[in-house]
Parts: sequence; structure tokens; C-alpha cells
Amino acid sequence: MMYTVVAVAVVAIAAVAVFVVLNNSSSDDHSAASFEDTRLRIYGNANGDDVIDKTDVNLIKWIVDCNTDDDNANDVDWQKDYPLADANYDDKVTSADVDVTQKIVNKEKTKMYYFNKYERVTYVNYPISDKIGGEYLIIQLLPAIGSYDMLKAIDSTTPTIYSNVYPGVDEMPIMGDWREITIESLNNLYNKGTIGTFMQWTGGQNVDYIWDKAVASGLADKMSFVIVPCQGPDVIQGVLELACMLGDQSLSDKYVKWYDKAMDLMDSIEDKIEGGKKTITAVRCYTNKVSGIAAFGSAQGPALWFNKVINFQPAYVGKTNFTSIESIDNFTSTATDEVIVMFQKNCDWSEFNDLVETYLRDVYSATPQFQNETMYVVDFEMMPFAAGPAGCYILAAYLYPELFDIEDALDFLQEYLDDFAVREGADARQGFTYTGGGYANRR
Amino acid sequence: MSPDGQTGNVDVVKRAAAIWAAETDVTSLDSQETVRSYRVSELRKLTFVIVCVIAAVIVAGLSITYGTMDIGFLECYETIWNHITGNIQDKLIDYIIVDERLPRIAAALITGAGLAIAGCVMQSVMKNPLADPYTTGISSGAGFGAALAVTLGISIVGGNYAIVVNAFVFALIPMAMMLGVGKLKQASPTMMIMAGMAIMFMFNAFTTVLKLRADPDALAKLYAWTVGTVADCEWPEIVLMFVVVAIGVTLTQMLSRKLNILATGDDSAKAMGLDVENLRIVLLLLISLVVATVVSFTGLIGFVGLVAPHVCRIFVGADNRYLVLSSAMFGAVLLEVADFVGRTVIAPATLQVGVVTAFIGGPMFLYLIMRQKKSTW
Repeated sequence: MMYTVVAVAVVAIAAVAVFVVLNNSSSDDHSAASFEDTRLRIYGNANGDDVIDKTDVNLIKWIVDCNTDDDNANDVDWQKDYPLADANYDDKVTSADVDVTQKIVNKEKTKMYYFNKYERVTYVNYPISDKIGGEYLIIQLLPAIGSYDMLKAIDSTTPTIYSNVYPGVDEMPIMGDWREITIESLNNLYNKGTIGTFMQWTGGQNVDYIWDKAVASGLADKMSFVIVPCQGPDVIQGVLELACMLGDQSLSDKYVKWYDKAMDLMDSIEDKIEGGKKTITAVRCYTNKVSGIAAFGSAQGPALWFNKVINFQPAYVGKTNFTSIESIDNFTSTATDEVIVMFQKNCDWSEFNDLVETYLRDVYSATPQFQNETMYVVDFEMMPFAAGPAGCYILAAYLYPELFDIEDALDFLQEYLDDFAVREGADARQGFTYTGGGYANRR
Repeated sequence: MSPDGQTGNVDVVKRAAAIWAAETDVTSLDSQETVRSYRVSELRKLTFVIVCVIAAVIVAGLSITYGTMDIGFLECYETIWNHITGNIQDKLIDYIIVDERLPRIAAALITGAGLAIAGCVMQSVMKNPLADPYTTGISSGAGFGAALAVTLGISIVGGNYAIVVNAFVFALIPMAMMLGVGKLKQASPTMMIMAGMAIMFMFNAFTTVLKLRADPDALAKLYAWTVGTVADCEWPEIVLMFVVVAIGVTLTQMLSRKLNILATGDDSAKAMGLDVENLRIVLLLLISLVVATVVSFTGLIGFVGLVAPHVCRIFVGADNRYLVLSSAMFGAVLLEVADFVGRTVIAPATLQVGVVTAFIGGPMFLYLIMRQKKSTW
């Protein structure tokens, strides 16, 4: 008798436990998604995680069921809690949204709506063509998903900036500059079979210049226009969305893992350092001999990444060249004890240390930062883009040596170069940050 | 004599003509020859104007059919016809022809006409062959307005039209200053144009300071605007440009006889009953509005305002009755040809129209003034 009671009790407890666990997991599936934290802002990603999969299909089914049953108490406020559940973007969540999401999961053709870089809802023709024409800053998303070979045409700026970083870009068909890239020129490339997807640069002061024309002309229904973030920490959104649009979400797995590892480290800075992130002067390289276009506008790629590890010294925000800092006297009296200098190198990677030494000596040799060697160097090739987490890690190692090791940071960059760089033999210790013997003492 | 004295003047002229006719044997061979050569001259001028109009139509007509996409000659016109009749067959082709190719061509024609009449009027009013929107500071003012918006974010209105509105307002400032100097100091046309040049240098200096302190992105944006292009113009802007330029050309043409009198010199114009100061102000304000409107949308396009009236003077002389209209038409053709060359010469890449006008306008101008036997000035 007693054994029977114990057995019944065990079964009952087990049943309750199973019920609770199942209920919990069900509740997890249907937990409200925070749109701000969602990295894959594609409609259909109802639960707001990094993939569109069966759980999203089930979640949308659940919303439909809840909102169609007789009991109003079960109604789900999907606009508030699951804003991406409206997969066909018709302002209703119905079985049609289930169908669209299922098509995405099945890699079947459908119109895929997403929240683009300019916070407008636009669409691509899913799965997008893997013949991609891209403008110069956004093409770095392709190596990040291991798909550089999908690049078939470039804008006219790309060879100037990237012919050494991306071998072969100077032999690709040129689409022109942003003025020359028109509906007519894109349609021409589409008709020739050169491209089926156009990726618009979405950095700096660029604007959403092509989408309205693409819709008005009907070209948006023939080829796809990908307008996703490509700079600063939002690069993860671009990487995830591009892979998803291509119909192979696993393409982004490796990069996401690498990215998240760095971000976990950077996010800990606030908690571990007393007083939080340091306030640091950041300037770009600029002399009569050496200049570059790397800018520190507060909405631009480098600044967006720097914000992960420092607070900008306000007086230097937007000061993009040495002229605007006024004079070396002004710099000496206003710059912080540590300074970040960003280069856009116009030399080979192996000559980078010499360039840094020449530049710093020419401009800053009278400053305490130069003499104390507290000017930390980072290269533009890495900082605004998909390699930004490595740049942050390297800077964090300079600025917070008690928390981060510079060798670990360089190894982390090497990991990126090994997995995502296109050129062969890319070396993290050559051409990305100063790795010489000490610039203040070398002549 | 009527109270305003005008009828009296007409009577005097009629009496003088009657006396001249009575005293002169108009049937003599010499007189017939004079009349014949006058009529030939008039016909030649009229022919030039008509040729310019036809050239504008032909160049525009051919331009529509050229682009990176191979759309047939007849198909282009069929598309336009279908668009007008609301019978659009292919949405994409329709967009390419009507919303990408046509606006560019229309903008080139309108801008060319506007800049050319501006140069024509300025040269006549100032009696200076070098007067044009550049040398009178209008373009520099517009450039400074654009630089303020791009580099410092200082603009009269925000949003997409910040540069346009700034350029428009600042384009009017040099002319206002020039007219102010003229009014205050009773300045001669030469003095006014020198004042204009001084203002031009001042604005250029301000713009240079802004450029020196600009970040690279802003500098690139400002550079793209200052080079000048008709590629960015869209229909609503083109309609506005057309209305302003059409009014400018019409009013200038209506005032062309007075412009002829003004060209004889201030003293003789005053002796003929012309209100010289007010006419000069009205004409300069009118063309300032025209130039400010077009450059605010297209950026700075040089040379058209200077060259077009000079080339036309070679064919029609200094008679503003023909010069105004022919300059407008020739300017339209010149800018359209420049844009067409810019689109084709290094296709699929393009050269900005402001660069092409200088490239083809400079040598052409040099050739024409070298082979000119007599001075029209």
C-alpha cells in the first residue's frame, strides 16, 4: 500500500514537473521579443532571436490561434510583444503569415520584409540572388559570411579603397558611383545576368537613395535591394540578415560566434572598471605628408565601435583632422593622457610601423602622450567594419591592461583574418596596430 | 502733347520719318540695296534663332534614346506617348525614360537657357563682356550657402532642401550688395561689376575657410554639389525651374528693345526717356532669381552664361531682340550637348556637366573669338 502511494506520488510529482517544464518551455517560446535587442530584424522572426525557424512558425500559429478563438482573454497583442510576427507586412497576423514564415524556413520563394538600416520596412525577393553588386563599404559583409565569391560587380570607389584588401576587385564590372547607379544601369546589369542583388552602402552620411525608385519602377520586384547596416556594432545585424536573405542562415554562424565572444568581453568593461569606461581623445592621422579620410563623425563606423570601449572626449567629437584641433599647443593642453590615433594607411602592411613612427614624430613629438607612448594606433581597415570587435579588443588591451592582454587581442584579430579575410597571408601583427619597438625612442 | 509726353514723342518721330521719306528717293538702287541687306540680316538672325530651337529639339530628342540600356529610338517615343495617354505598357521602361532620362534632359535645357539669358542680360546691362553669374558673385554666393549647410549644418530650412534653399538665398545676396553699391554710390556698370567681383572673392574666401575645416565626408558632398550636375533633378524641381526660367526669358524678351537702348550708354538712354537705374535693377533682380533658382538645384555650372551670349553675338550681333532668345536656346543646346557628352564619353561612368562645359566651352569659345573679324562690342 505504502509502495503504491509512493509510486503514485512519484508519478504525480513527475507529471507536475513535466507539465511545469513543458509549460515553461512553451512560455519561453512565446516570450515577448524586445525589438531593440533583436539583431535579425526580418519579418517572420517572431521571437526576435538570430534565426527564422520552426519556433517562429509555431509562435505565429499560436498568435493566430489565440486571436481567433472565442475567448478574448487569450488575445495576444502581437504589435507590442511580437512586432516581427507580421511576416507578410499587411498589418495583420493571420495564417498567411504562417505560410510566409514556413516558406522562409523551406527556402521557397516569397517576398521577405525587413526593417532596413534607415528604419523603413522594405523587402527582398527571398531567397536573394547570389550574384551580388555592392558598394564599397558594405561588400565587407560578404567575407564575414564566407561568401566573397558572390561579389560580381562593384561601385567605382571600391578599387581605390580595396584593391589590395580584396584581390580581384579591380577586374570586376564597375556599376559606377552613387550618381551613376540608377534604375537603368542596375536593370541593365540584371538583364545581362551580371547581378541579381544590389547591396547599398549604409554608412556615414549616406541616405536611402535608391529604394523609392526601385519600387516606383518595379525593379524591386525583379532584383533585390539589400539595405542593411554595415558599420559599427550594428554590423552583426547586416551579417545575420544577409545570410538569412540568402536562404542559408548557417553562413553567419562562425562570424556571430566570433563577434559575440568579443562583445561579451567589451560589455564587461563597464562593470569591472571603477567609474566605467575611460574618456579618451580620439584623432585621425593627418599631416601634410600623411592624410586619410577616416572620420570620427559621431554616427560613423569608427566612432560607433570606439563607443564600446571609451567615452569620446567631447571636445574632439567631429574633429576630423589636425587643422580642426587648432594647434599642437591646443592639443597638448586639451587631449587626455592617452590618445587613440586612427590611420588610413596608404602603404603596404609591412610598412605600417614606419608610417606610424614617421607620422607621430612629425606631429606629436613635443607632446607628453608621444613621449610616454600613450598614443594607441588602430587602422581604418579594421575599425569601422566587420573586424571592429578585434579593433575594440586591441584598444581595450591598451587602455585596460589589467583586464585584457594585447597578445590575446592580436590573436583574436588573427582569428578574424584566418576565417574571414580574403587576401592570403594576412598577419594581425603587421599593419593593423603599432607593433614596433616603441615609437618614442626609435629614430 | 499728352500729359505723359509719350504721344508727343511718337508724333515727332512720325513727322521726322515723313520728312526723311519725302527727301529721300527710296526707290533708288542704293536704298533698295540697304533695305535688302537689312532684310537679309534680319532673316539671318531669325534663322539662327530657329536653328537653335531646332538644334535643342534634335539634341534632346537624340539624348532620350541614349542610355546604358538598349531601348530603341521609336520605343523611347512610344513610351513617352503611352505615358502621356496613360497607357503604360512596361512600368520599368516607362520609369527609365520618363523619370530618369527625361528629367535630366529637361533640367539641362532649362538650366542652360536660364544661365545663358543671365549672361546675356548681365553683359548688356553692365556693358561688360565678362559679366556672367560667376563674375558677379551669384554663383559664389550660392556656393557659400551650400557650404554653410553641408559643413556647419547651418541652414534656413532643414531636411533634404537645406542646401537648395541656402544656395538660393545666398545667391541673391551678392546681387543685392552689388545693387546696393550701385544705388548708394551712383556707380557706373564697370564699378558695379568690380563690386560684384569683390563680393565673389569674399564669398570664395569664406567658402575656402569652411572647406579647410570640413570633415572629408562633408567635403566630398560639397565638392559634388559645386561641380554641378543635372543628374539629380526630379520633376517637381524641374517644373519650378521651368516656370522661373520661362518667366525670366519672356520678360527679358519683352524688355529687349529697352535693353538695346540701355546698351547705347546711360546718357543716351536717359536722353531717350529710359529710366536707366530702375530698368537695370529690374533686369538684374529678374536674372538673379533665374540663376539662383537653377544653381540651387544643379550646383555651380560655369561657362554657359559667359559663352552662349558671345557665340550668339557672332551670328545675330548685339541686337537683344534676337540675342536674348537665341542665347537662351543656344545655352540650352550647349548644356544638353555637354551633358550628353558627359554621359557617353567615358560610359558607363559619367563626367559632371560642369566639367564638360568647361572642357568643350573653353576651346570652342577661344576658336570663335580668334576667327571673329569684327568686334561686336
